[in-house]
Formats: sequence, structure tokens, C-alpha cells
Amino acid sequence: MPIVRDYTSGGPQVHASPQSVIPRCGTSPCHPAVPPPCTLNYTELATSPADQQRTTIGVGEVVELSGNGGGWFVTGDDGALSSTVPGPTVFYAGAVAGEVTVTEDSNLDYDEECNERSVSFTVIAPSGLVYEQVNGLKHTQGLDDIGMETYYYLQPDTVSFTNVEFQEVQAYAQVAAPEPAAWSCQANNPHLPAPTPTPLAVLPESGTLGSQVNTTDIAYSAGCTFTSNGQPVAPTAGYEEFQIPDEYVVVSDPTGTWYPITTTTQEATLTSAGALSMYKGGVTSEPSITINSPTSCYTSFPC
Amino acid sequence: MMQRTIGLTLCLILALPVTANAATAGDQMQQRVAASMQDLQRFRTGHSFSDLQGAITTLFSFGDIKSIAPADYVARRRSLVQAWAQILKVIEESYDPTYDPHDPNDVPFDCLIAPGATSPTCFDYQNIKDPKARADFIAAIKANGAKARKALYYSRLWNLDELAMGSLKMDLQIFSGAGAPPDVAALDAIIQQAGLSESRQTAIHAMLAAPAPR
Repeated sequence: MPIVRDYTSGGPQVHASPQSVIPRCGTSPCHPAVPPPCTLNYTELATSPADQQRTTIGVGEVVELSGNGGGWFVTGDDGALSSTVPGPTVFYAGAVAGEVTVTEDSNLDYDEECNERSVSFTVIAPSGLVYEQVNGLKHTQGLDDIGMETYYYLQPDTVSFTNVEFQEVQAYAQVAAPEPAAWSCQANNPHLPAPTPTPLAVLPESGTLGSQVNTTDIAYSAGCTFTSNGQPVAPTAGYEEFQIPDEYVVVSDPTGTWYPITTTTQEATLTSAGALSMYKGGVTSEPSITINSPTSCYTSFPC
Repeated sequence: MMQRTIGLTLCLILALPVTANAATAGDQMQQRVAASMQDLQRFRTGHSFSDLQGAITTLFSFGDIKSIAPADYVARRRSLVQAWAQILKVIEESYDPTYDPHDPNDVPFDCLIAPGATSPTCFDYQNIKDPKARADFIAAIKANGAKARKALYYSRLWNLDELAMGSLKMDLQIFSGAGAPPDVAALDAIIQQAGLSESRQTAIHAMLAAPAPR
């Protein structure tokens, strides 16, 4: 039976495998029948979240390990070590979710025998995004245009995704039809320009909302209901919707593969009662406005 | 006499492997330092973050502390800290002093709205008829792309900075945990001579002055 005990109070399960028990020499000085488990210290590099002794870590997270064992090896789904020889080493969690065990090999040194010891990590990928409106609204009085700026965060907030980069994938507008429904002229327009923008970094600090993507997102649907001579026509109720796939890549992943996170709904709506709003990823623009509300702009840059 | 001979022989037998290990460990550590400095030099010329990461992880995994003779702890740690100081100096010099990730002006937009136009986000500039407005919009797109690339660069460098500082801290703990005597003044001097920022010198001093882990 393997020896299993708690490494620290509430901490990880540490295993000492019976296969690696060192034979006794039977000579003086005497050694215990079974050597103690090797020391194994590990620390997540990310200081946010504050707990650096987690066994649940994000894809791409970096863990530093040290101990008195005979070297290191890793088993499980995905991850790599910077060094497998005795001494300190760095574990890089892989790009996909899974279970990974880092094992410190037995040490056969005569003066400091110790038995194999391991720590298991649950690696999790970004599971979703949380949006937070910032910087006011953009609107042109008399037009069916509305823009909302947001910051957004990778979930969950229990791990660090600082070694992850982010991108939105191309999506095409679904609209109400026919004119003069709001945004009807935007049918099938792309969400992103070509070529695809630079991938976005994730800020080092994570807060209660998660790991923040280092960008300001602009969700904007433009008024487009005009007469043939370019004069705006009051639109009727309508919507413009994008279903935007979100992806992440782990910086240290040599394959550079992008993996899906979720699909975010972005939708501008003009109701039959005249209310104009923008929705993205669970956040609806505030304050509520109508087509005839005064022209306004974000505070972040001139419109 | 016989007992003394047996005792001496036993001591030699026990001592020899330790001496051999110590020599190996010393060589191994010197090799790691040299390899790390080669990676660092490649980063200096090629600016590839994989080289900087290689320099850090190679130095961090300096070898087995048990194989270093205790009498060599002080000298080994000084040479290790000297190498860390070089890496950290290069990291500090690699930051763009004008970039602040918390300054809203430095935060890129995911994409832009055409100037003065009621056009969709990420509007294709080729649809802008007015040449000046199109040129302005193209310039704004390029400037925003530069912000995004700066943010990526900062994020990648910051992560490696954290890796280096965390690795230095753990290396120091390994030495002090093994019983290496305090050597704060000399190690502080190495850090100071490297010309690191005051805030970093303070952070490293705190690592040097920390009590040995139990």
C-alpha cells in the first residue's frame, strides 16, 4: 500500500510509492526500514491569486519546485519541466486542461536517503469571460448607433492566466430585416478587420473578476438607415447580433495552438418602445438611452 | 594502530565520493552558469524571449546542493548571485520606460471606429472615401496595433521578470536551507555593482536577509 498523508494542513496529497523503497543495508549506522519521503517544496510563480501553494493551476502557469530527491519527472496530461536532474526545477503547465503529477525521484545518497514523493496538479483552462462596462456610451442623436466600452476578464479567478494570450475570432452580423429596421444594412458584415488584429496580452494581476485581458473592447453598432440622398431615416425596432468565438493560446506552447474558450454574444437592440441598448457577454449598457438621446462619446478618445 | 588504519581507511572511503561529488557539482554549476550566460547573450543580440527564458531556467536549475561542499557554499552562492544580477540587469534594460500598462492611453482597443463616421467597429478603411480621413484612420489602426504589441511585449517580459526573481529567491532559500552562512553584505554589493534599480535592490536584500527556511 502506498503511504499517503497530508503534506500540509489542507494541502495536497503526497504519495510515497512502495516500488521505490530503498533496500536496507543492515549495517551501522542504522536507517529506518522505510526512508522518509523526500522534501518537496513548490511555489506558483504568480502572486495573484495570493495563494501560491495551489494544486489547481491555470494552463501555462509556472511552478517552481525544489527538494532533496534524485531528480524529477512528470506524468499526466500536459506539462514540462525545465530540468529533470537533482536540484530545483520549473514546471510549466501545458496548454490544455488535465491532471499532471510532478514526481521527485528517490534519493539513494547514503547520507540522506529519501523516498519518492509527488504532487499532483489539476490544470484548468479559461472557462469564460466576464465583462465590465467602462468609459460611457457612444451615440449620435437621431441615429440607431450605440457603442459600449468594456474591460474583460478570463474566468475563473482562482488561478492565474498570465501566460495566456487572447483573441476574438471573426464573426458576421445577423440583423433584423428589411429596412428601415435598425442595422438592417449591416447584414453579414464582419466583426473584425482583415488581417486579424494582434493577439492580446493578459495583465499580470488578477482580481475578483479574473485575469484581465489588456485591452479596451469596443462593442459598437452603427446607424445605417439612410435615404438615397444620405439623410437618416428613423429606424424601426431591430437588432444586430454577433456570436463571437473567443480563443486563448499559451505563450510557452511550442505549437502555438489556439483553443476555444466560449462564444460571446454581442447584440445591439432598438425596441419598439424606442430604447437603444448594447449587450455583450452578460453586460447591458448603461444608462438607458433612446434614439433621440443627446450625442455622447466615450471618455477614452474623441469620436 | 590497526584500529587507526581501519578508521582512516573508512574515513577515506566515505570521504572520497563526497569529494568527487563536490567537484562534479562545482563543474555542473559552472557549466549551468556558462550556458545561462550564453542564452543571455543570445537574448541581448536576438531579443528572443525564448533565449531569456532559457537563461533563467538554466541558471535556476543549478544542480544538487547536497553535492556542493559546505566550504564552497559562500563562493558558489556569490557566483550564482552574480549571474542572476546580470540577467536581472538585462531584464531591467529591456523595459520600455515610457510604457505603463495601467495608463489608459497605453491600453489598446480591440479595434477602432472610423473617425467621425457612423460605421461599425473594426470598419474596413477601404470603405472610407475621403483620402485624409482614410489616411488618419490607417494611422490610428497602426498606432493601436503598436499599443497591442507593446502590451504583449510588456506582459511577456514581466512574466520572465517574475520567473527570474522567483527563481533567485528559491535558489537563495536552497543555499540557506542547506546551512550556507549569511553573506548579506557581499551579496548586496554584487547586486549594487550590477546597477539594478533601487526597488529591485530592496526586494533582493529582503530575500538575502530572510531567515533560513526550516
